[in-house]
Amino acid sequence: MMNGLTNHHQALDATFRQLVRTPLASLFTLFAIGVTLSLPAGLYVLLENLTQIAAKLPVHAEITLFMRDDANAGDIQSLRNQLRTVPGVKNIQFVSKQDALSSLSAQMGLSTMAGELAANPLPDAWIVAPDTSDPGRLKQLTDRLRTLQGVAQIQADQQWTERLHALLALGADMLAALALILAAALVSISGNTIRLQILTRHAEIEVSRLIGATDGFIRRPFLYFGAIQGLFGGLVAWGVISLGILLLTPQIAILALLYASPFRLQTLSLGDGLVLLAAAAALGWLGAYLAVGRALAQIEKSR
Amino acid sequence: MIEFDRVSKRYPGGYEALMDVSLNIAAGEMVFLTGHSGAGKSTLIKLIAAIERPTGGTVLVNRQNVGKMRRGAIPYLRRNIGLIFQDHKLLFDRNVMHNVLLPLQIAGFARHDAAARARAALDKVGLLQREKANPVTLSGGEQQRLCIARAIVSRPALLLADEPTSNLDSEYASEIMVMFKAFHQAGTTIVISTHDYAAIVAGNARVIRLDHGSLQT
Repeated sequence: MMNGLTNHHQALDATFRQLVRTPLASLFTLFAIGVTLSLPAGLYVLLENLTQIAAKLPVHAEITLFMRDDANAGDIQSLRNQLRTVPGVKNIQFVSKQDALSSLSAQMGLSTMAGELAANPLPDAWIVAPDTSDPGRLKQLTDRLRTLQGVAQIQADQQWTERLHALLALGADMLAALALILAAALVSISGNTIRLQILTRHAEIEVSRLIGATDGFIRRPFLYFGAIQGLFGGLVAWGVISLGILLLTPQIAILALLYASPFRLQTLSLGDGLVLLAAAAALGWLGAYLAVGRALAQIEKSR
Repeated sequence: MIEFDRVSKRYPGGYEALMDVSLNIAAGEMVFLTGHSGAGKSTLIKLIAAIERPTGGTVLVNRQNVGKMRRGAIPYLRRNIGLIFQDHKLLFDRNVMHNVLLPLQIAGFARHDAAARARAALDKVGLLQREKANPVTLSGGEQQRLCIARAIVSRPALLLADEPTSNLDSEYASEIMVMFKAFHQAGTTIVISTHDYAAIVAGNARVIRLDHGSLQT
């Protein structure tokens, strides 16, 4: 005789009837939720794309190793062998002190400088190309290289990658902050529509309580409504983002062509989209839960 | 079935609705609760259904202390009580049938079962022909009968009626009293608050008289 499913079915039924009964108001609310959600979700897509670009950039980082002044041919050979075994090193190039001096004098236009100096003041050097642009792994690599036999000094040119990664991290933090603020906004949008519904269904709630409805029974249809409204809002947001990407794609394709890059703008993945929908439903549910909780407490007090 | 032991109820603001009331109502009994307006009849009924809590003494219903009952347990108490209100408390956003179905939906009855029971209840109060009507189109007497149908549909052991006939003319009122008598004969415990003396005389049942919140003997 008891049938818990009946209750859920009724609550679900009531939700859709409510949505259809006030189509314009429902549409406005769904649109508000959708736009609210599309801001952080859109920023997320943007960041994902930027991260992808950053990862595909040619690695410009270069590490220069200077050898001690007294290094002889044997030391150079031994360091060459050592460098070949260090993981993370993609390429090495030896620059002898003579080469360095001649290229320096060529750069400065002093073709006679080499001849005028009593001794070559420049050390032998290695230019090491790492296989990564990740700041953390570069740091590891330079620390490792510093310990090698015969190395006097190390210069790592990684500022540029550090700045890029710092910017991306800043973007991720901003996304988190924005998501948090807009999640709160979403909870209040949902709570507010539920509050209005509670006002119009005040009599029903009061009578239901008098004839033996539990708080759970009274909450259920509102929770369903909040969650489903959030879910639909999430779908709207997904649509907004997909449309935005679709509109940007031709321009991006031209830009990528000009840079001779195979880059293509990525849209929200299926997994991310489902996370978006789940988050939207959960926030809608939370807003409804808070609104009904307040209403129940007020009904209790007003008696 | 119902025991009041030195029960007082003071509302916030200081109004003393009931003072030191002790009484017993046995299972299967029909009782009239009478007195002037403001004598505490409604308060007494609200205490039985745990709509209000006493400020002193104990209220037992089926040996449960309903005054101290936790909030989560109260709905299950109320499902065994049929409440009939002076102002009917019907829902005008749904038809007669769905008003009667509400208690069954709350109690979790399956749809088919519930519909059969609701028709039986509507039949008992003579509203079966109006099941599709909106309650707003019903007369005062019909609305009160609908309220009764909703109260009896889950076959409660206890019926509480707060001034069920005070807004009705005497013909409707006596009709409703006949219904209550029938429920009483079927074994239901019934408490009816009223100041309709004709009903009390016709009812031929025990009378509990309240005066300014105290029991009169």
